[in-house]
Order: sequence, then structure tokens, then C-alpha cells
Amino acid sequence: MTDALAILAVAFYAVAMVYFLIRFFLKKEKTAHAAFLFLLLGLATHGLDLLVIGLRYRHFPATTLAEAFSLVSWVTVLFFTWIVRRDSMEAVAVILLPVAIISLLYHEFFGAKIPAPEPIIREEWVYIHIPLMILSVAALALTFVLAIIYIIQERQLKSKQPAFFYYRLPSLEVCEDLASKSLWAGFFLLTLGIITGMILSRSVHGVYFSWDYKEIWSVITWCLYAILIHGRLLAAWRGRRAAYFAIVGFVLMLFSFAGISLLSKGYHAF
Amino acid sequence: MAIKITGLSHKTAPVELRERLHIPEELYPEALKALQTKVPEGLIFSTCNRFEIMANDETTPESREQLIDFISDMRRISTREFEPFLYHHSDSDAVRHVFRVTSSLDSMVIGEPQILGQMKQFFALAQQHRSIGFILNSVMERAFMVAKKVRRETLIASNAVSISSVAVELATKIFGRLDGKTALIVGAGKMSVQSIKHLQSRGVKLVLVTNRTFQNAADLAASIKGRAVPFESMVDCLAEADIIISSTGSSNFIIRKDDVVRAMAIRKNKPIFLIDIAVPRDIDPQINQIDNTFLYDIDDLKNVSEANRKEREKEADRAEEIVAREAELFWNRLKTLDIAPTIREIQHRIDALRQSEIERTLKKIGPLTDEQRAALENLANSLTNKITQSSFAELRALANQPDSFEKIELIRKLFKL
Repeated sequence: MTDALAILAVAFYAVAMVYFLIRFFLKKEKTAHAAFLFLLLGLATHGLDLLVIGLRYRHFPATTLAEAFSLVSWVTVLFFTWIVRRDSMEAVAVILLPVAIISLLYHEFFGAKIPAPEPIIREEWVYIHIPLMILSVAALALTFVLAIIYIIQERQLKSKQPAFFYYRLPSLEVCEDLASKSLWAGFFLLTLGIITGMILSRSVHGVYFSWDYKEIWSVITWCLYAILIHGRLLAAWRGRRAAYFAIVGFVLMLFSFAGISLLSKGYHAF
Repeated sequence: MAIKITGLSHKTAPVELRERLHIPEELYPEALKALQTKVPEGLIFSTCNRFEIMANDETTPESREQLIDFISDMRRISTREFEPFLYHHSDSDAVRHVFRVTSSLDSMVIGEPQILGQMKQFFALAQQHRSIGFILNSVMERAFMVAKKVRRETLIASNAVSISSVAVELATKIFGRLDGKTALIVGAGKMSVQSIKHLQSRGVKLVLVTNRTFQNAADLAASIKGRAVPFESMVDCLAEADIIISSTGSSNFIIRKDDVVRAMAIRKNKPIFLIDIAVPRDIDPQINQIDNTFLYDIDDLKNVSEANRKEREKEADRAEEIVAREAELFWNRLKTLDIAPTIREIQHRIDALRQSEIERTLKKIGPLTDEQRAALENLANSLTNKITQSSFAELRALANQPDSFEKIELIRKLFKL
């Protein structure tokens, strides 16, 4: 069942991807509706796939790294459907959809199908902590993608030699606006996620902070984003500088989200 | 049906000649009337870049000469002077030519939007003066459809090429929408006025104008509904303005890096777009190094324009394919619309049928007297004539109706033509 759904979702995303690519390269407006339709179909089947996984194993579908990866990419694509109608957003799709496809395939081929039940996973707070973290990673992933696009477009404009990307990427203001909104949302969710994590830690281990590598890295990531948010608020950081910060922040985020569990074994299963 | 185009354009003729042939607006109806006396259906395109006559005329095979004489008479110019510059297209070639012109593929700047509007105007005038009939009507309507298709499916019209529209295009790449933005004009060059009008049409809300001579600034401000500010306080306006266009005759920089650094601090790093169209330059080029500021001088704008032109030309190849395909399709349909050959073919078919039936009957009933034979032939003749006469009249009427393509195709099928 989930195999079929995952394959279907991959197929839908792939078709949507083709339409977005046509739009990106040839700027054909006609493909907009088809692209959107297949994006929604992909999103629906992908969501259903996650739901079925959750029901089958009776756990939140973020219990293994592969599941969490799939869930994050699903939420990111979900966020993306909100903004897809804005100008020249196919550039974002061209980056996001392959990631979503890879996440589905990764889960399909390498995902541990039956994870060992972790005692901590039964605690109620975990059902708030994990979704918050997932949402925050997804929002910050969007910031990351928009920051990359911003940097490319800014270089095009500064160089005064318009080329391929100048014609195909959204305007700086659109990137800036969406990136800062998703940054605020992501930072807010991350803060809540870390707080609920601490409460969870308290109820399971008796301490708020147990110096798990993942916790340490999460706090470092949070500090970096906090600097960025403050820079934006107090020193009017915008544009290139803010974009570079968002990129570094997300790399750290990815490391604490996935990298740590590949290097060490803590009670954070991934 | 015989569609012909005779004309010249910026590609074949010098501007002096085009100027002489150009028909002023007030003389246009007269010209159409004169054309009507020469050909059953005719249309004149007369812009500063092109002078063409399109006609549908199957009665006179020498209509090319006829059209040349017509031009010579109407514009009072000897044939010798313009004939070498003319090109001639006929039938499917003529259809393709009109499609290319309307789609702006034959324009001096490929993809420029004016030509479509101009063609629509000539079409409307021709309709108004009834100088065109069903065939040219269909050709023109199809040409407009093809032009729209080309515009929709290719990028030939999407990138700006004039300097002022390049400036606007860059501004939208920086700011997204221009609604509510503020612009500052320093000095009052013709190009800056053009750009500002362009920007205003895209939603720029406030235009500040400054000039060393305050009165000049006030005059310009009044004409574009802007606000004049004294030249001394120009630097203070930098913080307020999102788009700055400078074109003074000053010999040294009037906007310096420090000014912009200070302005950026006040405006909290909101992006600023500076356009320097003065030669020598008004704005320190180092300003481009400041984050969130984008400075383009006149050469930069020309570079962008050139890059855009190249993008358009790449797209033009795709557009040519679309036009060629559409022209062929349309010409094939148009041919079926031409009812005369269809009627001829039906007549042949019925004649052959009648003849073979008479022969068959004669074989069956044996030899007849001449009188009897004539009576038999009369019977057959009047029978077929009665059928064809009324239906041919109907057919001729049908050819001029809007959905005649399908109907004529059906009839051809019925008779297995």
C-alpha cells in the first residue's frame, strides 16, 4: 500500500517537475495549471503515504530518519504550494521537488521499515515536540532555498550582465519577502520545539538539558538564527548578508537534524 | 482566390522612399476607395517602416502591375523610383508574410508590440470602408490569432529593449512590484522624463524632481505631477527615493558613495536603484559595491538591452516555426473555401455520371431514333441541371459564411472529391 502510494507520489512530483522545468526553461505560461495540478496530486499521495505509514506502525511518521526526511519534505512542499502562484516560483520548485522525490525514494529503499520502539517516543510531549521541529525545519528549508535564489539573482543584477538566471528567477523583493516570512515562522517554531524538547527531557530524564549532541547543535543553530533575527530587527540586515546567514543557519540545522545521528548514537534516534 | 502582396519595408527600402509612400491618416479612406475600383478585395498597410498592399483578385492575372500602377498614381511617384525596392508575395507565401508582419517578426525591433495595434487599425479601417471581403477578412483575423499565439508561446516580446523600458524591467527585478515606490529625478533629460512616465504607469507613486535651476525642476514637476525639491537638499532625498535617475550636465560626480552609505542607514538598507544616464557620469560607480544598491549607467543599460535583444532573436526562430506551420494550415483550409473549383469538380462528376447512365440505358433498350435519343438526353440533362442549379447557388452563398470550412469539407466528402 505505501509502496504504491510512494511510487504514485514520485510519479506525480516527477510530472509536476517536468512542467515546472518547461516553465523554467521556456517560460511557457500555459504549463502553470498542469504543474499546479500535479503538484497537488503529488502532495496528496505523499501525505496519504505518510498517513498510512503512521497508521500501520502506530507511530508518528517521524520515528526514523527516513520518515522524518519524507515528512519534512512533504511539509516544505505544502508550504511551497502557498507561494507557488507568485511570480517565477518555478525556480523554487526546480530545487524542492527533486528533494521531495529523493526523500520518498530514500524512505522506500533505505527506510528501516519497522523501527525499534523507543520508550521516550511514548511520552505525550513528544507528539508536540516532533511536529514543531518538523515544521520549523520545513519553514527554514524554504528560507534556505529562497536565500540561494536571492544570491544568484543579486549577483546577476550587480554584475550588470544579465544571463540565463536573470530572466528566470523571481525578483529580489519577492525572495526577500518570502524568505523573511518563512524565517520568522521557522524561528518561532524552532523556539517552541526546543522548549517542548526541554520539557520532554525533564519528564523523561529529570533534567531540562542532557547534553545530547543533538541538543547542543540545536541550540547552536538556534543561536545563529537568533543572531540573524536580531540583525534583521536592530541592524536592518537585509539582502545578501541575511541570505548568507540563512544559508549557513540551514546547513547547521541539517547537521543537527540528520548529520549528528550518523556520527553518534544518542537517545534521539535520528 | 488569388492573394497578392506588393510592398516594401525597412528591410528593402531607404527611409526617404518610405516617407514619400507613407499615406497620412486623413488620406487613407480615399486611398482605400481608389483601391476598391481596382481590385475586389484590398487592404493597405502604411507605417513608417512599411508600405504594403494586399489584394485578393483572381480576375486579373497581371494584378502585380496593376498594383504597382495604383501605387504610382496614388502617391504621384514614378514607377521607376520604387519598383526596384518592391517585394511580391502570392497565395500561401502572402499569408505567411502577413502572419510574420502581424507577429512582429518582420519589425525593425523583433517583438515590438506596436505593429499588432497598427495592423488592427488598418483592418478596422478596411472593414469600415468595405474594401475587404470574406477572404481577406479571414486572413487578417487569423493573423491576429497567430500573433497572439506567438506572443503567448515564445519570449519574443518579453524582454525590454528600449533604454527606458530596460530601466523599468531592472526595477521590477529588484523591487518586484513598483506600486507605491518613490522616484527621484536629478536633472531633466529627455530620457529621464521618458523613464519616469514608464515608471509612473507601473505604479510609482511619488516623483521628486530636482535641478540646479529650481524653476526647471518646478516646471518638470508640474508636467508629471511630481514634487520639486531644491538641489541643495537632493542628498537628503536619497533616503526617501527607491529609484534615482540622474542626467545632469555636471562634470563631476554629484552623488557620492558617502551620501548613499548614509542614506542606506536611514532607509534601513531597503534596496535602492540608481540609474545614471548622464555622460560624463553623475554618480560615483563605487556605489554599486554597497549592499542593496544597484547602480546602472547608460552603457550598462545598453548592455542589458543588447542581451535582451539576443534573447528575443533566439525566440524568433521558434516564432518563425509557429508562423510557418500556421500559415500552411490556414492556406490549406482557405483553398477549400475557394468554392469555384469545388463546383467545377462536382459538375464534372455529375456530367460523367449522366453520360455513363445514358450509355448504359442505350445498351439495354437497343437502337433508338435520333428524336428518341435526344428526348432521353434532355430528360437526363434537365434532371441533373435542376439538382445542380439550386445547390450551386446555395454553395456559393455558403462560401461566405463564417463556419463554411466544415460545411464545404463535408460537401466534398459527399461527392467523394
